[in-house]
Amino acid sequence: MNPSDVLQRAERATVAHVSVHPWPTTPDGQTPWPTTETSDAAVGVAFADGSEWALEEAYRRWGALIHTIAARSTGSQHDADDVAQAVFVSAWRGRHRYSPDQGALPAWLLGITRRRIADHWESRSREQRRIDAAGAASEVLPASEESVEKVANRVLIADELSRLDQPQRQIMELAFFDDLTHHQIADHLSMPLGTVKSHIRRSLIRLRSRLEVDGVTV
Amino acid sequence: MSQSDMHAPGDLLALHAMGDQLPEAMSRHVTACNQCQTELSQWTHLMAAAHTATVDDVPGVAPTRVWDAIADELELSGNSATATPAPVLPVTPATPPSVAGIASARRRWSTNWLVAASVAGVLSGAAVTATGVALTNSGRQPAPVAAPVVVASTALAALPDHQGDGAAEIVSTPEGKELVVDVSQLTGGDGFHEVWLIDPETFQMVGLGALVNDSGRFPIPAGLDLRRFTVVDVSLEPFDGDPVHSRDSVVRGELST
Repeated sequence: MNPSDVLQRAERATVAHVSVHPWPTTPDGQTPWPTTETSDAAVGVAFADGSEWALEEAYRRWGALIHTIAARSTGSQHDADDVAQAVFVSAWRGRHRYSPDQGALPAWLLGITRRRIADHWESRSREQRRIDAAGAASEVLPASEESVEKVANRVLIADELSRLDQPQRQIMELAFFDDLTHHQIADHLSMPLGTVKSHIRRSLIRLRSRLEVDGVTV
Repeated sequence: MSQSDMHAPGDLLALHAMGDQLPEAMSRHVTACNQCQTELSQWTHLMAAAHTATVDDVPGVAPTRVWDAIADELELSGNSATATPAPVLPVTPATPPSVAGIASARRRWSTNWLVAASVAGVLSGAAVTATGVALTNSGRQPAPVAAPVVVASTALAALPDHQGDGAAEIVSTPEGKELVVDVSQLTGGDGFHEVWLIDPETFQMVGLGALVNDSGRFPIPAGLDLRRFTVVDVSLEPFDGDPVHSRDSVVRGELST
C-alpha cells in the first residue's frame, strides 16, 4: 500500500461518518443491485409446511394483488378488507390442501379469492332476497364468475405491467392504458418504430409467461 | 420448408393481435392453421383484457390493518417453533447485546430457517426475515424497556457468487446508536470487508468502517436517517485507496424494526 493510499484510507476513516456516497454505476449506466429475495417457490413450500413467516411473506407479496381484485370486484374498500382477510385466513387453515408441486402459491390464493368474492355476492344476494318481500329473484345480481375472472385478469395484467423495467413499462402502459398505436408510441417517445415493437414483443412474451404462473386463463 | 408451411412465431402473433399486419404468406398459413388460430385467439383475449386495464387496477400496498386482522383471527404466535428466524434476535436483551450473543442467536436462526429453506434449496432469507419482524411485531409485542435496546435487526445473506451469512443489529445506547455486525465464512480475497448502510431508494450509502475478525461495532453518526438507510451491506474492498464502494457486495440484509 503506498503512502497516498494510506492517507486516503485515513481520511476516509474520519470523514466516513459524514460523507454519503452515491452507489457507483456501471459503465453502461446500470445500477447493480443484486437481490437476496427468497423465491416464490420457497415461500410456497414453507407455507405448505406451516411456517408462519411464509404466511406473512405471502401477504406481503400477494396481499395487495388480492385486496385490489376484491376492491375492484366489490366496489368497496371495506368489503375488500373482509374478502382479503377471509382469503388468507382460509388459505392458512386449509394449507394442507396446498401442494407446491401442483402450482404456484399465488395461483392457489387467487383461486380462493375468486371463491370468496363469489361468496360475498352470494351473501349479498341472500340479503337482498330476504329484503325482497316477494322472495323473487333479486335484481342485484352478483357479478358472475366470469366477471370476477375478468377483473382478476385486468388487475394481474396491470400488476405485471407495473413490474416491467423502463422503457418497456412506459411503452406498454401507453399501448394498453392509453391505447396508443405502435406508431403513436414511437412518435411520443421519439423512438424508432422497430425498437418500440421489439420492446413490446419482449414484454408480451414476459407478460404471458408471468400470467401463466398466476394461473390466468387467457 | 416455405414460409407458408411454418407456424407463425408467438411474438408475431402477439403483435398481430395488437393490430400489426402479418407477412402475406404467413397470414395465409395462420388463417388455415388450427394451432396458430388457437394461439392467436389466446393473444387476442389477453390484449382485450389488457386494454380494459387502467392505472387504477395497479395494486398498491397490502393494507396493514388487514394483516393485523388476519394475525388476530388466526392468533398467530409470531414466534412459533416452526416459524421464523425473525424473532430470534432478542428485541429486549436482558444484558447488553454482545457479538457472541448475536452469533448464538444467528446459529439458532440458521437452524430454524434451514429446516424450511433446505426443502427448496434456498439459503438466503433476508427479505423474508425483515418482513417477518415488521409484520409480527406490529403492535403485539411489549415495548422494549431495558437499555441498551435493539431497535432494528436483520439477517445477512450472501449475494449471488458469494458465500457467508451473519446478522446485524442497531442498538441504542446512552452514547448513541451503534450497528453491531457479526458474520461468518465470508468470501474473502485480496482486500478487506467493509460495512455500509445503504438507502435502497436512492442508492446512497455511508461507509461505517472495516470489519475485522468477523465482527464489529460501528457508531452510527447522529442525524443519519435510519428510516432511509435501511440496508446493511458488507463489501469486499480492494486496497486501492478508493473510498467508494467496490460494488462487490458479499452479504446484505434489510433492517427491520
